Amino acid sequence: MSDPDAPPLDGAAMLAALERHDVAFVAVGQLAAQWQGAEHVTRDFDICPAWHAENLDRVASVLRELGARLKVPDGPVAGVEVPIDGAFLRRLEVSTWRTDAGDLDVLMGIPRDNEWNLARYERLRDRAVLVGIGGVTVMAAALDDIIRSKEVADRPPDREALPELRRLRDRTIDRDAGL
Amino acid sequence: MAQVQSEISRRRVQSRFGSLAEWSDWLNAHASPARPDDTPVLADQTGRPRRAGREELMALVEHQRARYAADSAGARRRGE
Repeated sequence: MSDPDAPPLDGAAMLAALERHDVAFVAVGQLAAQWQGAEHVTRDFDICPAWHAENLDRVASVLRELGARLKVPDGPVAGVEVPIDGAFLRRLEVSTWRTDAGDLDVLMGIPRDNEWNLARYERLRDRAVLVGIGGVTVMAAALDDIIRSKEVADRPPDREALPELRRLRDRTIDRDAGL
Repeated sequence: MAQVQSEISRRRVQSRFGSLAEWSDWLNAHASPARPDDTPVLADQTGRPRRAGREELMALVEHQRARYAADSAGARRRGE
């Protein structure tokens, strides 16, 4: 099911804002997969930032700069205005924002097992891939971590995405093994 | 040194896009829009989290607005 009101994603503006405010984060979700070769992507940017006060304040600065409004069920298409600070972000395990540069989701972590324990920034960072794109280097969650999160979440779009992600991962393993 | 070593051993990928603008253009031409039910999740849940309902979120938003207004009023009284 898609959101017809989702704005275009200005990836350059989003990454530039994150870098300008020195946010420590790992990109997760389908965009992180796309950087590693996936063709199926959604038009929202998911990040898993280091979940401590100073870094969340930086994320809040990014959101304010991008004119972010909180997405609320049955709420206005443009989102709801709220004064954004790190303390507010801490109250939400997942916050979904509509910004002037597109939709941005801020996640405390992604599920890593069926008990829904989360892989947080530190764990994702240690396994992340460095992606070079347009002169910028970004950390993207490893395909294994993305795959595992989708297996746990098990929603229809997750199940649709999994075959391609597994093929990409297996191709990477084969390539690294010289096969 | 440990940090440098871990960076050296980390897998690196070079995107096929020559610029961020090129990447954004490709995304907007090929990507599916985000799911409309991708809405916030409140913290401090155990197990599979539940997406927050409208009333819960608006209560959180109103609390934040009130806190921000009180902080701003206090700052003005202090001449900040």
